[in-house]
Formats: sequence, C-alpha cells, structure tokens
Amino acid sequence: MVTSRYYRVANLTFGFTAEEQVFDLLPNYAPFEVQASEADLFHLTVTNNSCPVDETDLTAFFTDKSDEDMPRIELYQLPEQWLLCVSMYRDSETCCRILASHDWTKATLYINTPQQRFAVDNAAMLLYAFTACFKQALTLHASVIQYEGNGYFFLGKSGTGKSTHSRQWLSAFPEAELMNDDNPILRLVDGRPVIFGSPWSGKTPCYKNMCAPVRGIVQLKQAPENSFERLRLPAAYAYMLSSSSGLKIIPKVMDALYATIATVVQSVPTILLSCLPNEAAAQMSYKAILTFPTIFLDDVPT
Amino acid sequence: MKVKQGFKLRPLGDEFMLIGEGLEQINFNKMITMNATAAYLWEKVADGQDFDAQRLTAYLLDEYEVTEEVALQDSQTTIDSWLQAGIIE
Repeated sequence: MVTSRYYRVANLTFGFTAEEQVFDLLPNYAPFEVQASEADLFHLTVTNNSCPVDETDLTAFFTDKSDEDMPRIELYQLPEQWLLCVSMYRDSETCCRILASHDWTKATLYINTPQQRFAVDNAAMLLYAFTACFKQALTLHASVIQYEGNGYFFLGKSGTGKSTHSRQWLSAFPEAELMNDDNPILRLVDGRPVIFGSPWSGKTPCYKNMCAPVRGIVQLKQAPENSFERLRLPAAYAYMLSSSSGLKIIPKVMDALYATIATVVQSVPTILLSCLPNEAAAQMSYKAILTFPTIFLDDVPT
Repeated sequence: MKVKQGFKLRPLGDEFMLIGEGLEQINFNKMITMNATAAYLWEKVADGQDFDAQRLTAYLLDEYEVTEEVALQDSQTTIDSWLQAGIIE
C-alpha cells in the first residue's frame, strides 16, 4: 500500500510517498518523523517503475564526477523538469533517476538498483540541499561533536580523518557526544549558526534529532605533528563552500550559499588544524577554538 | 585587456573575494582576494569593457587622492597580478 510520511530536519519538513515496505528500509528517518500534511521543502515519490524519460539522447547541463569514490551525478534540463541521474560511483551505471519540477519541490525517484536505501538517501539529500539553501541552511560534509552544549564540526576531504578526529574528541572528553558523522545540516536560527543532526551520516549509524549552537569550525589536515592556525575569513569561506552541497552552478543558489556562509564564518572562529590521529589533537582543537570569541551581529551595540 | 566572464566579486568582512562561479568558470578552482581599491577597479571594468593601465589610472584618480604617477604604478601592478591570476585576458 502506498503511504506518505513526513520528516523534519533542521526545522524544515519534507515528505516521502512510497510503498509501505520501502519505509522499512529507512530506519534512519524514524527519529525525524513528524505529523504533517505538507512539506516546507519537497515531496519525493519513490517507485520501482522505469523512468519515462531516458537521457541517452540528451546533453548533460552539468556533470559532477569529481571524486571516484563518490556518486556521479548528471543533470539534464527538460522543458518543464529537471532529470537527475545518479550512479553509485564515478564510473558505474546509472542506478536511479529523479524527475523534479524546476523548483525541486515535487520529485519522483525511479529506482533501478537493489540498493534502494542508497537511492532514497541520495535523492533526499540532494533535494534537501537544493531546496534548503534558500532557507539559510547548508548540507555540510562534516563530522559533528556536541560538548558542553556547543557544536563543533570538522571539515576535510574524504580520507582526511574527520570521523577519526571526532572519535578522539569522544575519548578526550567523556561528556562529548557524536551528533552526526557525515552530513549534518547547519542553519542560521535568528541569525546564529546552529548545527543539526540528520538522517544522513555516512557509514556511521548516527541519526540524531538534536541540535547545538556552533562554537567553532575545524578544517583538518594530516600532519606529522599537531599545530593550528586561525583562518582568515576568505579561507574559512572557501573551505565551508567546498564542504557544502548544492547546485553551485545556479547563480541564485550561489547567492544563497554565500549569504549563509558569510554570516557563519564572521560569527564563529574557523581554525586549520594540522594534526595526528591522537587525543592531543582533540585537546588542541577544543582549546584553540575557545581562544577565539564568537561574534554575533546582534551583540554589537548600535 | 578585458575581464574573463564568470567571476563574481563578493564582500566578506572588510575584504573582497573574486570567485569563479557558474558554468563558465567551473574549473577555476581558486579564489582571488582583493582589497577595497582593487575591488573598486574590478567593479569598474566588470562589464567587459576594454581597459589598459591608463584607463585604470583615470578610475583611481576619480576616487582616490593620489598622484597620477602613483595611480599609474598601482594600475600596472594590478593588471600584472590579474594577468598572473588568469582573471583577465
């Protein structure tokens, strides 16, 4: 039987319509389920039917195949819709297709793979990133720790050690908690950056419906010894932008990402931590961030 | 000289960033930071007009209290650094 369910991530609602058994494959969304009848962001219908549009004779508007370990995404512009083709790796076959309205708010996912959860997660993450960017929200590639009520998140290319650094925090600070290990949402709430857990957390099953005000951002770099420097605003901006998902080729998307990231990097400190995978690196990361203040525009006397 | 298309000048704090955005500069994988003066000059020529050091000098003299000699020197330095960065042609 086909049913609809709604989820709220970073206070933004989206919906899925699918056969009941599809939801059994998606336990990562359960903590975010809400009673609702319409979505703020998008509504995704999931089906195993084949897509009515084939991309064979079309020219891609944009192809993202930057990383061989990451899904390949091809975007085609149709008269009334977008067609998005996703494959699991850079060089593999298309495993699902998404037909969406031009504003991305209504979409259908046509799954052509046994990896149904992969298909739904990817589609939902992409649609979330494409629509939430206009609501002051960023879909980040990061690992996040909550400690003493504050959020700290770690950026870096795949393989740099984001998850490892989070684990070092957990052992250095017994009260610390992992909020998300791969794709948290950062959103401005009353102008201040707040980091939220999400149903997307990479290989670590950590799907927590919780949030914390951001105290600092750590860009990681592997090094033979631990050291840190505070990043200037343009460098902090560049690292945040490259860690944010979204259709960056669309000018109004870039305008939205810029507005959000510019506020974030001017509010909280960003450090570059050159580090070993050890507890001392976590200690340094924490102490370095606390050296620098947060600056919120509403703190400044007018 | 002309600016290459596909760059966007964005303010951040008291600095400016020139970023390759959109399909035209999708492979331009770096960011150029500019001070307020360079950003002012970039905005003046961002429409794609032809320019040289003389033209930039005139723009500088319109806006800043400097001698023509200093303005010309700054203009030439600016053009050299923009050429090196690959943002004009």
